[in-house]
Amino acid sequence: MIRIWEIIKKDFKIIVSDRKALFIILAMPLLLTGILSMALGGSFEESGKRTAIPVALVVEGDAEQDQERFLSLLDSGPLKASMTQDSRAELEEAIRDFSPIAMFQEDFLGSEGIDELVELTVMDREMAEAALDATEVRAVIVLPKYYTYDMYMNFFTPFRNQIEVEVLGHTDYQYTLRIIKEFVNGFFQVINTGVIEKNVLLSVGSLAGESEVVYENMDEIIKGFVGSMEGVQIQELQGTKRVHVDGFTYYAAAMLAMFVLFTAGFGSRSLLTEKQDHTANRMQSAGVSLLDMMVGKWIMMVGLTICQMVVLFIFSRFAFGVRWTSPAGLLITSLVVGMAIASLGTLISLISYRSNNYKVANLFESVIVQVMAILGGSYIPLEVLPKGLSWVAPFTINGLTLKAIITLQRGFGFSSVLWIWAALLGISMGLLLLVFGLSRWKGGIQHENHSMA
Amino acid sequence: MNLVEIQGVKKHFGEIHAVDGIDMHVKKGEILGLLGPNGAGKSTTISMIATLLEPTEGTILFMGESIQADPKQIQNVLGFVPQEIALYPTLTGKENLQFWGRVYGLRGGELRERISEISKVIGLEERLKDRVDTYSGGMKRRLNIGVALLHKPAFIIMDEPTVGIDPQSRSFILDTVRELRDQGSTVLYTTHYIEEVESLCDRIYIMDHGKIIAEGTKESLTEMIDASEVIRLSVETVDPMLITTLQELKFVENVVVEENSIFLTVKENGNHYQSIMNALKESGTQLKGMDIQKPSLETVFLYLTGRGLRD
Repeated sequence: MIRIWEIIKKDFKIIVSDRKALFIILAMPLLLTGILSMALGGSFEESGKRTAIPVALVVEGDAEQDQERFLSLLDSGPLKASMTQDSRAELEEAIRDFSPIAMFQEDFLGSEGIDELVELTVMDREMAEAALDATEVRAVIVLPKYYTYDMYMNFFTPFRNQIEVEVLGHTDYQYTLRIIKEFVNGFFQVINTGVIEKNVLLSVGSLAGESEVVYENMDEIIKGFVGSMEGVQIQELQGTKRVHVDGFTYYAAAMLAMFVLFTAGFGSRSLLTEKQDHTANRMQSAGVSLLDMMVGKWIMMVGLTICQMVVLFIFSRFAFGVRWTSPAGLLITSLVVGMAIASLGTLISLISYRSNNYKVANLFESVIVQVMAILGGSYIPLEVLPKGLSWVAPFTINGLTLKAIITLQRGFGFSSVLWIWAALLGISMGLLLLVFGLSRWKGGIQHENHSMA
Repeated sequence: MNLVEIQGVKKHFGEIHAVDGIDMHVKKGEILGLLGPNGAGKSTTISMIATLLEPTEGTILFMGESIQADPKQIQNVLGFVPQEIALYPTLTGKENLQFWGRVYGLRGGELRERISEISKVIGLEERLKDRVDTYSGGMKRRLNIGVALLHKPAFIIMDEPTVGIDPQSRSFILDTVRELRDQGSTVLYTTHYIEEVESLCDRIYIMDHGKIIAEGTKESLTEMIDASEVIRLSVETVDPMLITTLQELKFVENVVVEENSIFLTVKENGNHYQSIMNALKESGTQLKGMDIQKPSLETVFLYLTGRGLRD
């Protein structure tokens, strides 16, 4: 263990003495953060405002059947007794003119302001769930069976039927789900208020023997509800605890997420460098095993990534004025990112060591890092990327890193990023399993060690 | 007492038989030379002794115990000087000594003391704070050796430690090796420089094509060939007819051709030169130079293998 500690210390000293590595790991992300924030920050914020949330609407019931069922109810029981033939006819006309589904879909979600935030598509349930899984839509609103009938009951009778609207969301878009839920809650709050007002009116009318008058004017009462909806919903939306993420914050996180990959690249070279410089052989002759060296380098890369992230968080605070809102969350993120990066670096280092060349490390740094940077949202926000590409982000270390930092920065708690931390740990474990497998492949690592022969 | 014993050791890399069944031993307190041309199997042999490679076949014993079964026993007392500069070039000389000293288990005051002693031995006291990549080749070689001596190893393996350095540094290194032997250390020294082996080693193994072809002291090895001297003829071109004529001369023991040189091992003292001149004249070969040498390890190697050490 003492020898592993000495290897870690030595590797840190080598990094500190390597100006090129320090420039790539620390200075480049700061430089690029500044450049990209100024060049693309504006369009990033603009895109955030313009992009509407794709939402599926599922109507499980049959509106016409519900309407006929409700009309037949009017001709029986206590409701029939409280209406004259004329008021019955006027009420039926009002019912036939009033569609609760259209009220929700067009009058509410299609109203000015909300239609810019929500892009609604009507689907059946199966299609909607498939679209949600494929993240083609970010949420699904399900209007239940008998929705139309229950809404008629609530609007046109003194009774109140409970309506349970489901809102389904994707685990990757918890924030979006929350917004849509706020919309739906807001809608039904308005409905509840209107229903209470209507019931009061019906009760007063009944006491005064003027129920007929109330039913005759039901049409106007309903129009009044619809008119009051827009303002309430916008107010609900503004009430959420969203913290705005500006261009500097986004790109500070994005560049950090990208440049931690270079730490893996740096680590991936060091084992082969030791082999080619014959220091690996010298260590082995002194009783330090290759496993000791790999463990030392893994811990070194974890530490280096954490140091890199912490330094960049601090620098971006002072250089770009980024106010990081969850230091503890960012520290935990740095740890799990460090573990994933170290495992990736260890895997590449072992491939390089066994193949005795830097081809894989070069390919990783010059091509793979750039591709991962694009797919992980480091250059362009994921929302702007084509849908066919954005699904890759959760499978990239930098994509997950960026998502964790931005989610924490937007004010969400640890519970919202737990799955990201778990995913990063999972990636780390998976990569270490590959390292284990590769170290045993074709007779094991010891078999490779004949450079001095 | 034998410190190291190698019994029937082979090392194969696929079809290549780098070491092909060797038996040798290293006596405690001696400087043992392992002599052979490049590719003879010297480095593979010492890599197996240094536990860097496992033999394909055979056993290596250190103090009577198999190093394959217990590598730690030899690793703890071994100072290994690889042929290449095995240092961290971006670290300073002191940082390198500190790191390797700690790897060898030294700590605190003991480590500081040893670094101070070794830096004097290798003559780098003034340059310890400089990065190794600013050192000359000779300085790097000396540091490369110094690192291996930090923990006062009882057994030191040096693999061609003087390759590519200036005469002053070479002399310095050879003196250091002698001092180590005088202080009680055992040294296994590989080289393809005959003069180093001749001046340094108590005993010598000669290797070629993965096999030990001779073993003994310098004297016993040179006595192997029944010759009083070796005559080297430098010629414009080597005529096969001339070689045949020379081989037929009674006093000629052996003829070896190496590029434009002909080496004649002659049996007894006397005036052979007239006969040689006649042979040259008959074949029409133009003589560019002639050199008469006493038998040496080089001539032993030539005699045994039919080629020079630097082939």
